[in-house]
Amino acid sequence: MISLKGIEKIYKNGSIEYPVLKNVSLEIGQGEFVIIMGKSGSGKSTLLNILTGVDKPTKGEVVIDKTNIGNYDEGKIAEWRGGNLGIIFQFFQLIPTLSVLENILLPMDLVKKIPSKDRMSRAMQLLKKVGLVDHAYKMPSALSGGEQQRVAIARALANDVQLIVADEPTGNLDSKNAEIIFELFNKLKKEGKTVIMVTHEREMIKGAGRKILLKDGEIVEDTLVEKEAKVG
Amino acid sequence: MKRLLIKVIRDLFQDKFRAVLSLMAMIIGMTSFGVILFSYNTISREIVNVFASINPSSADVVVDRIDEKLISLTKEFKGISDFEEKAFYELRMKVGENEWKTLHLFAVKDFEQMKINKVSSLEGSFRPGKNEVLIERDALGVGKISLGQTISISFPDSSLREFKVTGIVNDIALHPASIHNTVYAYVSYETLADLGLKGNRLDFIASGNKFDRSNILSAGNDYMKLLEKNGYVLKSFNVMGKPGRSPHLDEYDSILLILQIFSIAAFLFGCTIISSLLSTILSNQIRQIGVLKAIGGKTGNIFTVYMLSISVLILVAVAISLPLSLFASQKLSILLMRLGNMQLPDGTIPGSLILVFCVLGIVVPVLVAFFPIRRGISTTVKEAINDYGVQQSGKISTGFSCWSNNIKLFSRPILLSIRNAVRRKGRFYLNMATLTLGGVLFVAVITSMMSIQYTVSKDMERIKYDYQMSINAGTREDKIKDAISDIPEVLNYEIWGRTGGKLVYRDGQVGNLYPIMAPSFDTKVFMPEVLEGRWLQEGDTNEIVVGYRFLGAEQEYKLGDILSFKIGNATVEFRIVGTIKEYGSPAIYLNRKGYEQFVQEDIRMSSIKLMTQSGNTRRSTIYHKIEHELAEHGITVLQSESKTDQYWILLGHFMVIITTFAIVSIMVVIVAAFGLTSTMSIQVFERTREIGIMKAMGASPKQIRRIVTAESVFIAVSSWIASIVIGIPTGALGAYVMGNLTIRMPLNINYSSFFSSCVFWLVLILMIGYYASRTASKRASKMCIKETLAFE
Repeated sequence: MISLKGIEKIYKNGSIEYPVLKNVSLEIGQGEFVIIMGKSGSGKSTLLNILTGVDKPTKGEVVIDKTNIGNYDEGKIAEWRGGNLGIIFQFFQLIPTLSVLENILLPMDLVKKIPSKDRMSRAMQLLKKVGLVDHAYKMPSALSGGEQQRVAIARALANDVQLIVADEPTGNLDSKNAEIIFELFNKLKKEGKTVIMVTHEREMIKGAGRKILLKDGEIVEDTLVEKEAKVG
Repeated sequence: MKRLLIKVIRDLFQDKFRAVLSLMAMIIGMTSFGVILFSYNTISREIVNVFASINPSSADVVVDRIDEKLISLTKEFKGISDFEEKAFYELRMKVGENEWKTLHLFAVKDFEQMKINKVSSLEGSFRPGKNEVLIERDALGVGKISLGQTISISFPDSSLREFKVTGIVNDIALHPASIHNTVYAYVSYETLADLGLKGNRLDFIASGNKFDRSNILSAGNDYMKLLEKNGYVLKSFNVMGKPGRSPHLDEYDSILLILQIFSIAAFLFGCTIISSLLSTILSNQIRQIGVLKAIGGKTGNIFTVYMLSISVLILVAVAISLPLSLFASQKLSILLMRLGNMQLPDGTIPGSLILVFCVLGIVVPVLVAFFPIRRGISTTVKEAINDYGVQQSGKISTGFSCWSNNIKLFSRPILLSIRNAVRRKGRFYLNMATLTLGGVLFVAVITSMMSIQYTVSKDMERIKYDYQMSINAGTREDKIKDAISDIPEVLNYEIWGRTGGKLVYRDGQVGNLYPIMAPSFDTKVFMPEVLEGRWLQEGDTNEIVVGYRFLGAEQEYKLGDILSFKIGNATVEFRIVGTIKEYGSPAIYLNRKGYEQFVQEDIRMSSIKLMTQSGNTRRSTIYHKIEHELAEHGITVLQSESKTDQYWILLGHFMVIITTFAIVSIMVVIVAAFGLTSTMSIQVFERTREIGIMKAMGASPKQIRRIVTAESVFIAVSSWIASIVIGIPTGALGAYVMGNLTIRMPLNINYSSFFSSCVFWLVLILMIGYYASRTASKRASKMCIKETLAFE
């Protein structure tokens, strides 16, 4: 599903170059639950940016579902992103002026992948999935952090995407809520969705299928968690 | 403190575009305020000074002749402190093959030594030689005259004489030539003698209170009695409605009122921008303020530094606005004074006023800045650290949410725009107030402007003739009929009687000379709008109808009163039976029967009112043909005027105010455009992260642009609706106030012009909304998600 070949990312500050990713190659299959770990500055955020089309590599190729997203311009990549992947942020990033339900409807309105007549029922289904049907008409500010993150997950799934990218989704939650969120990700995995998550929480690794460890811009470890076997 | 100050200044200018735009908006607001404040001061001061500088007369008297004896009598007369002999003749100037313009010929003994109602030289000679004339500047356009050109003037004996234009002068004692569609020409006494004419007018200054109307009337009456006793024939005695006051001052009253209103609006606008800018900057600084506090920053220090920094920004705006205001106000004052045919000799702005501008320009915005800064600084460390990403504050109300949710017309992204627009209620109200104020001003101004034109056009419809000619006294009417009857292009005509009557007050004093018009009671060429009482009737003899301006000028009289006019040698009593609407000089309307009974034959003049059929023939050709026929019958035309000329003369009275309206409307549009542009830029800046989220969700740059544009358009349209609601009474009030200031009665409100101005404002505001958001939306769509969201 995802193929990263020889990815390099170099930031420049005047004449000085800072290599952030060094010749990273990676294959992630459909339905995998991958956790990316690494210390601050290891390059995991840059890798996530490149995976989601937010940033372009200096060198290398990003192919997702046979699509080389490196060739897309800003408009095209936005269109692709909306229809193919859902992003979940550490700080939830719900739109404060829209209700919970509207936050889920918004990506469907923007991307128009789901027919108009089906959007409302789909949004309600997604809310049911994350256990927040009763909160549909509330504003995000009326919800707890854990609830807001569940809404963010529902929103990421709005356009029936196959790839979910989460950036420390439990970083701002207590352990109980973090557990609920992980449960949701596991459910998604079981449904065949591909989940890529950046996290620092080691206890969560067990739930995932694969762990990638980054150090100084290089993949230093790529492990199948359940079998503890190296990949590639 | 120093490092803290550097940080805050950097924060303010972090986004250069936003900072420059906000600064520009502030400068525009302050400059508009300054321009109007300074222009108001200059015009209200200079219009008085300029008029005083010509040493205006208390009154003028026109007599049959001026000789040594009259001069000697005048010198000895105690009621007059000073006087100057002049000559005045009403003639015609040829401006085209068949076209004529009224020409007022003045003769002055020594132009450079003029004492009363002084004329100033602008260009060329100030000492016209024999057969040379000086032309009043404003008359150049009326007669299509240029310096060095030769002009042809027709005299009452039908002779046509040529004169070379050797100088251009400015005479502000007269109403602007362009307004009266009249050419003012000045010749020397040498030329006057050569023409066989003599001095006939005395401008005088009354002893005692020289501008007290009753004092002038008293002195003037005693003087006239003296002249009559010594065998002089008095033609006219003219006292200005408000002696010593510029005839333009009334017109400028309305302009100054508009300028006052606009200056307040512009100032409020400047304050709005500052408040918006600060609340945005501070709302994005919450976390940093928390950090500053966490590392030991004291609230007082942080507050001082922010206030200091914003004061620097305000000082910069004031420093740039001040010279701009001084320069632009000078230009505006020159333009507005020029419309009243006046020069601006002194455009100095008093230091005290500059101080007022600076103090208001600094203190008020600083006060405005105080509240958002205090609110921002009062954030606790806990609140600041919990401020992550998308703002949780500024929640929209549930009521509004439900309401907007029910608007099925809009898609969710557009609904999002609408909610974003009202998210910060304070700012939304400020923006709305600014734009609504602009809209209301614009609608009121355009409605008033168009109502003036509508009122004039509507009133012109009551005049059914298209050409009128004045014929010398003593011309028999049957002779005129003989000349005109066979001209096929003349569809209809009426011959009105015409003479002059001096008003005799109840105490026996003689006042101004008024034209007395004598149409037939059932005239078909004039359909007057009766305001009070009635129009003339068949049996009327001593009954008169007056123009409403007559009652305005002679306030001791009202409908139903008996008044006396001295017509020739006889004094006749009349009763006012009606008032009609009319502009220009107030006239008295007397039935033909009364005219024939009370007016001696030798002072009966005729005014021919003609309805012509133009078809393929140019009207001017027909008029020429009529005049030719009259000349063939030995009839001399003294004056002539087409309906078109009358229309432009009427409209000319409002030209100063119409121009001011137009300038104010343009300024309103500029101010509104800048206000909305800076607001949109600030709004986009504030929602940088939110835009990033939407892009991450798949919103294309086009969709982002649409959302930002929709938000701007929503604010614009909302303000438009408010403008209309407030604009209806304001437009009516504007037309009422403007009408009373200009024509002393409310204007006819042209409702179609009101709706046109609303539609026009809608188009403008939509364009402003669209273009105002263009830059902001482009910036928003180009924002890089990585920068807006930053995954860590």
